[in-house]
Amino acid sequence: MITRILLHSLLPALVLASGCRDGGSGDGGTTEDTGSDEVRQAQRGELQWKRNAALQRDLMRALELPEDGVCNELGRGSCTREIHHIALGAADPLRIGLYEPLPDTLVSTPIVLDRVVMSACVNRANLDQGGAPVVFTDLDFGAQAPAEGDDAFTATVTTLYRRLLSRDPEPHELTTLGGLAVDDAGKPVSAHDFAVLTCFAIGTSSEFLFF
Amino acid sequence: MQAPTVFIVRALSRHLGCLLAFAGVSLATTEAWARPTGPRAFCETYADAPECMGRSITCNKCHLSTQPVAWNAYGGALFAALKGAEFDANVASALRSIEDEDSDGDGLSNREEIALGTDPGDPLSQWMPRPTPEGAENPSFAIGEYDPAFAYKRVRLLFCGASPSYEQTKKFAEQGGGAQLEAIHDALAECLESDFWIDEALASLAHPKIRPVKALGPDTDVLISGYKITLADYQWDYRLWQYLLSGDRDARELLTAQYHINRDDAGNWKKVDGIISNPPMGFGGGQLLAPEHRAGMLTTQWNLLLNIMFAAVPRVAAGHAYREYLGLDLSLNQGIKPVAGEPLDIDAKGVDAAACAQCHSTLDPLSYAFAYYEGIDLKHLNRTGTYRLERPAERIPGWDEAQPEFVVLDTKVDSLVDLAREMSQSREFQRNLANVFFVYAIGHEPVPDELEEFDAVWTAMPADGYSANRLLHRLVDTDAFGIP
Repeated sequence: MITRILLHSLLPALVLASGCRDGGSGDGGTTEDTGSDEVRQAQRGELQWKRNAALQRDLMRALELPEDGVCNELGRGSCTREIHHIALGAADPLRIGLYEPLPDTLVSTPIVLDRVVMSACVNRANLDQGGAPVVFTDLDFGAQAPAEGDDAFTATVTTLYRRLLSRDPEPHELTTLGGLAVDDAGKPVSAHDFAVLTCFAIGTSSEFLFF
Repeated sequence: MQAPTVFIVRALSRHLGCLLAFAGVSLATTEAWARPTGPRAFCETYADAPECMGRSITCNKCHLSTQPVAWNAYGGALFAALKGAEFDANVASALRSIEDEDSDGDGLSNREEIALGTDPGDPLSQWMPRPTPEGAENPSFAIGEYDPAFAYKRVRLLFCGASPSYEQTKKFAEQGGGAQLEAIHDALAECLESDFWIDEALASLAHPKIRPVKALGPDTDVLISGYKITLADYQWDYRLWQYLLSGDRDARELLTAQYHINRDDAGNWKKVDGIISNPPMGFGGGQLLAPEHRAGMLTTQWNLLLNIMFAAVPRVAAGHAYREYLGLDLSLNQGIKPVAGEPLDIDAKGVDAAACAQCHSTLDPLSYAFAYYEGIDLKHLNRTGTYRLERPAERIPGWDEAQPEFVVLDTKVDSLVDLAREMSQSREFQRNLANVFFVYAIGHEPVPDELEEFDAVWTAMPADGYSANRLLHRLVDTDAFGIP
């Protein structure tokens, strides 16, 4: 089930990756042409990707996590600083004599990005579920996910957009993310799963990862 | 891919009158036709060419290979235009005479390619202008123009290490155009004082220059009888780099500083004058060099240890300095400025062989100035990073008789201190430093349509007091930084 939900979660990520906020059809939950090819394309198209430090710091800031609360690989060390830092575009002069970051992403980079963002989102959801909530303040973790259109749904998605993307969501984006509140059978998922999946979908969007 | 000879033949076919002469000369004296003075002559002729602004062309401009010698289409055309005349005296007029030709047949004349910064001898070396934006207005970015919101986010991420918050973004968006540009510079000024910039990003830019090795440095866990095998402490190097490239300080002191930098208990910079002893229980870790022989990053104990080691003639140290602080990598044929009579092959390494002399005629006159500085002397480990007037004569038989001259960038100097000062005053130093920041901020080296504004950024360094901060303020104003 969780795999299906994760796959489902990629849908909004792809929509977000189109780079078009308000050109969508508005019917949500589909992969229809959003009209992005009709708007002016960037001349340079030379976006940079958030490398290890920026990724970690942005997740710390957005989700109010401590440095060691973003992602720790099997208790052995920080994903962004010690374990997967090369894949995330860092140098490592002291340990392996890599004085400059690799110029391009590695095959493992997308997987590592998913890993780091998922970890941060799970950690935040767990903290909010177990104590005074900081990010998911509008969710009742003892209940099911709010339905699309509910105040709690809109407030949660809006909070995540503001924290991760520094803007408000467009109406069609709210509609798209509504698909994460239910499973394949149309039944509501738990509030915890909704929190994690929504955070992950927005946190792995190209809008969050590139600048 | 076409065979090299195709280019040569194509070029020469335009100069049939010279073909026989070319064939005869090249068969008779092939090696003599690789000209290490060529790059200098080219940049004297085209001083305003982008490739000559704070750098110089490489041999590849004319050659497919220098050993054995082979020309590309442009080099072949130049050779033909020389008509067998003496090279140095006639190369300028020969270059001018082929300006209107299109040697590589790519549709642009040689002069147009030189002005653009592409290779007139390589048809695959081209620059395609960026397409004019078409379509409906992009709701997310200002396409084709400087986008303040895009630039603001970049500034925050690159120099503060994190994206602007929702509140910061909203406040920024509410401001007018002029106020937004001001806000970008306010944010940059704030970020340039941040721990992220100074301790993380700026330090990371120094890794290739310092090349720390944990096992030899202060973090080593190698112990012998309780004696820590620290041979030198690269943290001195990092601190000097961070100090001089922050706080509006004079970046030239990277090569001229005769002090070192430490931090007090509160983390504030503290300038340290005089000799700094090695810490107890360590072979190195201090700065034993007398201040009058210091040349900033070039003479730290770590740099001398790592790049001189056991060498009598410290060519690695010289090549490293030339590459990292002037952006001229001799191993890539960059910055070839041969000195007449060099290389002397003073240490009998065979560097006067034809294949070696092309670079060593530039490298060796740089290296001699480093010969007074000690890398590793296994009999006297406490000498690492010191100056000894007698060292060259001790290590190089015939040093006194040869009396080699020290030369950098075509200028004769008296010592490494003078050499480093000459480097620090050069356009190559300015351009290289700006290039380090450009690549960090933009993500690639300047391309042809970015060169004009890039050159404007680094040539302003003297007026800006050689401040890295002011350079960065100019950089974020460029189209390369702010146009999506």
